[in-house]
Amino acid sequence: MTKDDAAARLAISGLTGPDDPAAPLVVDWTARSRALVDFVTRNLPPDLPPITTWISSIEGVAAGDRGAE
Amino acid sequence: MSRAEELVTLPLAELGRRLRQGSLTCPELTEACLAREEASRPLNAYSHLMAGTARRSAAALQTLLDCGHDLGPLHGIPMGLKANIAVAGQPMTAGSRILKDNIAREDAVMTRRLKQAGAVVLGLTNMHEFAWGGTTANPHTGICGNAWDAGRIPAGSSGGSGTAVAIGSAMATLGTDTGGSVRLPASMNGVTGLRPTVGRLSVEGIFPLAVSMDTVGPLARGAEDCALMFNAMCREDQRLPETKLVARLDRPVGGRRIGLVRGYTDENVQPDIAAAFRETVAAFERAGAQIVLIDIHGLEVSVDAQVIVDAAEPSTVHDGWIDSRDGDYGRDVREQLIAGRTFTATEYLHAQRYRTYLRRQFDTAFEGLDAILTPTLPFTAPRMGEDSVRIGDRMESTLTGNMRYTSLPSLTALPALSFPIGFDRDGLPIGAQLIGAARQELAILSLAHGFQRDSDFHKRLP
Repeated sequence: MTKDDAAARLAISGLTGPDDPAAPLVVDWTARSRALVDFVTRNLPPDLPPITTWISSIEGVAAGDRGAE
Repeated sequence: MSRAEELVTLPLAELGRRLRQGSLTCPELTEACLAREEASRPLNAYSHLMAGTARRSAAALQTLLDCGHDLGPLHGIPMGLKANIAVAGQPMTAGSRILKDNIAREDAVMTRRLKQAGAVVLGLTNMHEFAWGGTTANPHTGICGNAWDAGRIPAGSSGGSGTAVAIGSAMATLGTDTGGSVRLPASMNGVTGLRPTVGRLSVEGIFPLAVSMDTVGPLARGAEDCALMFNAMCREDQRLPETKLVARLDRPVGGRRIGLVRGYTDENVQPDIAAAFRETVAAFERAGAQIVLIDIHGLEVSVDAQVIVDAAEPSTVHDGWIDSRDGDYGRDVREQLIAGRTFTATEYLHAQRYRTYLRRQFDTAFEGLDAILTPTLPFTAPRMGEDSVRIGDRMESTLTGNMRYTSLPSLTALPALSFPIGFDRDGLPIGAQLIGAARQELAILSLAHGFQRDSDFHKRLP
């Protein structure tokens, strides 16, 4: 990850960002995304599918609403 | 209390009775909401008011009613729609400068269904720019204030929708909810707001935020009002006749099983929220509900997963504009969109796999439960500009605090609602969240309706 990428991620905290590098860092999203990936790789079976591969077939299409009457 | 103030605190069902009896007219109800809007204009709940169109609609709907053409329980009800929902012939800006000249050519599916149900569209409610934020401090359409304290945020991104219902400048509104944008403003403004199951209601004609989590839902004073709205918004073959809907809503609380997630109840929240939440649990118990403690694993990274999905997906929607129109975004949204580009594909897919992991645990829990109850937020409405809030002896970021509870239904694509359960020592509303199994919106609405039969928090006017 480049320095610019890291700065951009900090911006998502809403507390600091590329325009204000001196502002206090309260939420470090790089560390948070690392924590998520660590959790997933340690605890989830490798064949567990992303929700996006199955959710639409259950709720978005079969029982869901695509606007037609 | 003035006549307008009295009218705007009534349930939609009571307004419907009065309209049919002739003791109230559609134009009078519309004028009551417009009067409330005028009196509360500094709150900036609407970014585009349609008073003339609304008055003509109300007159036409009264003529229909006088001729015996009754369109149902929403006939003549004045509503506001969030500014990212298309209304034919009106601006569809999503609260942005980039779309400031965009005029909707046709109604969104939800707009069409509500008009067919007899809604009077009063205007478009103020929102966080492109729905990417939780304050409704919009640099293009103006800052929206909280109905209970103009110096505090109404939450977001559907902040105007929450403020308008609370203040009575609409009897009901539509918001969109990706990470909490209906439930958060409902909670901070002391009204009820429903996020339906992902895919249950069409989002066609609504500007997207994060497509795998986007939903559209109603805000109104009470759960019964939200149920009437939700029913009218459903696909025709999924709507219930009014009598059946009322029977489902009136289902007794007694004997129903409500889950509390261990570690996600009254821990690390402001003391007044903890007290109101405990009292709400006790109220459900007094009504005969069985309270069950459950464990959901891996919640310590739920906000992390939400941020990855909630940041990466909007950045794909805006990719063409981030570079070419960067000066037209507000600072916070521009920075968030740039940040969303930096998550890797593997991080994004891990977040989506985590959602499956979480959803399976919730599906298992719902085999023995009717609903899961959490606070909606760990704090009441922060002052404008406050980026962190004190909880006990530590500070919490408002961004991550906003997501702590609302991320669970968003990640799992399950329905949830926020309903008012009290006020803090500063007179600010407190909300609780009920999460339901997939497509069980009426189950959680009926539980909240049962609670609201014995409470008046949702009836109070700021």
